[in-house]
Amino acid sequence: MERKKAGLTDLDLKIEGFLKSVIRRKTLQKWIFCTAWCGLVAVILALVLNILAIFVPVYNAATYGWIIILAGFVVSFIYVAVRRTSMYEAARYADSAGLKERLVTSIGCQGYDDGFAGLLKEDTINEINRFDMKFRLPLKYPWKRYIISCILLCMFIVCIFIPSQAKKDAELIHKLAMQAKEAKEKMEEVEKLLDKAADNELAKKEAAKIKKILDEAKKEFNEAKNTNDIKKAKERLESKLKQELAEADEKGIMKAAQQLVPGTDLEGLADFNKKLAELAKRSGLKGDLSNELKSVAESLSAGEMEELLKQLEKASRDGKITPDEVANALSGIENSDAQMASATITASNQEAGGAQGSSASPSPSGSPGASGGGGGSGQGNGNGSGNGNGNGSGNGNSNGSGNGNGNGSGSGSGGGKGSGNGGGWNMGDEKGLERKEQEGKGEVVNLTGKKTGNDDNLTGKKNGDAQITEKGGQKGGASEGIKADLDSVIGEYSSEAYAKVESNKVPSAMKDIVKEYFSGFGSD
Amino acid sequence: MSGKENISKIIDNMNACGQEIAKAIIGQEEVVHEIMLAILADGNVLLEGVPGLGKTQLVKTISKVLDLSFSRIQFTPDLMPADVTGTNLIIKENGNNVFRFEEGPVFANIVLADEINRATPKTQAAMLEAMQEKTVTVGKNTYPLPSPYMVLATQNPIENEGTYPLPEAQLDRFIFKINMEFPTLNELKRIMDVTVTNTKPVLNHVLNGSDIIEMRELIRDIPVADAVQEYALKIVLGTHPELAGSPDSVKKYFMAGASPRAAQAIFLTAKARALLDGRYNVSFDDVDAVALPALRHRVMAGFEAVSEGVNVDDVLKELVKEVKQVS
Repeated sequence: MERKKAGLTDLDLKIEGFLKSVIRRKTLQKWIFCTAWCGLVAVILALVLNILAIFVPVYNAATYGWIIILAGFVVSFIYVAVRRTSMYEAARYADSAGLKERLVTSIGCQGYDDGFAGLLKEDTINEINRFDMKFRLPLKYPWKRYIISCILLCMFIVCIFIPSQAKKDAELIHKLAMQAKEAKEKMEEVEKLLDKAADNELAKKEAAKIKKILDEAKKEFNEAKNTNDIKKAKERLESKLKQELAEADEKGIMKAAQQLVPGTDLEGLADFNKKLAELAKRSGLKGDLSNELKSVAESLSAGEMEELLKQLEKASRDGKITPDEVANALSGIENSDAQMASATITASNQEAGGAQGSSASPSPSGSPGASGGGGGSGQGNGNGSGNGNGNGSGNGNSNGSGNGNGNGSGSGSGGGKGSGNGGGWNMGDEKGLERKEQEGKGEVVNLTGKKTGNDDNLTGKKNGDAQITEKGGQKGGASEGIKADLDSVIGEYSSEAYAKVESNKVPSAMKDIVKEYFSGFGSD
Repeated sequence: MSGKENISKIIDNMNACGQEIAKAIIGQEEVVHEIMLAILADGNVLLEGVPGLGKTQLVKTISKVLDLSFSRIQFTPDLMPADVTGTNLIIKENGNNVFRFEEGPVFANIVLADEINRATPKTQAAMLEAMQEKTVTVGKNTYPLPSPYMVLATQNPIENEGTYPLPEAQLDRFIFKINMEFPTLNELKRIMDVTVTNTKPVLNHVLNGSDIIEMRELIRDIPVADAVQEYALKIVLGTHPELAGSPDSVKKYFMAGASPRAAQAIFLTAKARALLDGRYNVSFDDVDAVALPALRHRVMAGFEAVSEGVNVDDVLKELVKEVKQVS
């Protein structure tokens, strides 16, 4: 006979009520086990991470460890919430505690109220009333797992406080990455502004040049190994941009790139350069002096630049502007760079009196990885007053055929002979090819306001009015083609450089620059 | 009378029945309980045990307590099928010779087939129809057997000479195969007290045929939860070595598994057990308790089991354990 299913009877509702309390208990039990497991796994992972962090640079390992442990607990909550206990499961659970499948059979008979179904439910309720849940379904705690987890947690905490070089490295690497990221973001911003500003052909050309500089800088940021590399890359970028923007005609481009060279009045500098060029044309201001003034102007304020131009204008009224007049004009400005340049120019003039030329521009010595020293003497043609400028270019050979360009200027009297000493960058590698910048193999270093290693920066005409005697340059530190780490050779290089600047007749301002340059490496 | 009172009465009657049997049969409570389950499940029982354990005595006692007709067939090698089922005799009636069917000993409520494996397979096969269909066909006529009807057979596990092992078809018709264990020291003492003195136990009739029929109908209505059903069926399927899910021990030691009749036997006897336990539902424990007697004669042990002396019961216990773990 087919049975008819009625709605839930009172007996069914009573059984369901009991099952709900069983569900709560089972869920609690499930969560206790789940947290024990997830907690143990999470603590093991956190511990492994922090042990690794002692030997391998892992930034913020402790924080990540805590996050993993927290995640373990969250996962256990989610797992228990997702895998909810059903009525059927709860019935099986309670049945296993002595109800002998009464509940699970009662669930199957839900809605039926005939002979055996009714008797079964009554019997089930009688059993339920006698059922002591706390005694029959006691909560089990996995103490072993809890204890192991606690021990591992203590080990994890101890690991957090163990100091190590790897932890310091991790901090540095992170700092480096953040700096590089910040710089790159700024550059990308500027690139966008440049794209917007490039509204005509001239602007496009200038924007392309700046973008090229930015691309190179990005490359340097990517290759940077430490914070010092980042700092230097930033300085180089600023220097290159200043040089480029000072000659730019487009104000839009200038404005766009302004944020990469903060604190510099680019527009003022460009105006100054233009006026200086006009003044040079009018008053026969020498190219080297003009370049020196341009370099100095990068560190001057708008007012100082105006003052300098005024003084030069005044000097030009008397005829040609002499180096002394330029030095005087510079010394009148209260700016350390200008003072230094003034001292350099004055010293150069004094050197010229001894018919001995010295490098006007404090060219940096070779890079620690591979440098080449070049010495050149120039024979200048005397003009009417017996002053001559000598240009020297020196070739420095490391091994192979590296070329070093040196700057030298000299003035001579009488015979008009001059000699120049120059330092140049060794651009050759051990295979005789042009050295490309590589990690840990030396680098090009720019000194702010100084021009390096480019024929365009040389004063005088190349092989023009000077007779050039070439001297074989000394081999650089990378003779025999040895590649050396910067840190391992910097000491030797520094002492050699200090000795050189002391023995040669180098202006005191120049000595300071060289010393400062090398001491800069030491401070890192 | 309400259903609950009815069931209570049955439970009381069955318990009383057990107590009456215990007067004559010392110990063997488990065996008696299993026979009661078989009676309630409308099945036949094969009792196996060494001689002298009281198999025959047990069957005779049960028949007395149940107030049912009883007949005994001593199976011997020369026993013929007609000696069991009965035969047509030519008799003179009103001056005419007529055939009349003379009922054999199989026509009783409880039939004791003593040492059933001593008869030839031909004679053993005469019991097949009676055990399953509860009828006997002689010639063109089919004769129904009295209800309730059950065969309680005995056999000796040690003596093999002059015996004929029961065919699978016949074994499958026994709901249980019950192994009788040797009594303990205390039980043996009590047996001596009863059997070697002049004290004869007085047995009362507790149940009659109609009570048993009523109980059998009632038992079939007991609900079984899906989980329990599945569990029982998994055990039956697990005895089949050819199936992928069967345990390795079954694959190794069994040649053939149990038939669907085994599942029916487990369900019915489990229900009977639940009711005798005062419950209205079947539990896993009920299934576990009846699985062994319901399956042990239905599976065929393979060569490896015989050669290694592996007990079928051990393999079945392992199977039950494994299925329980999965469930």
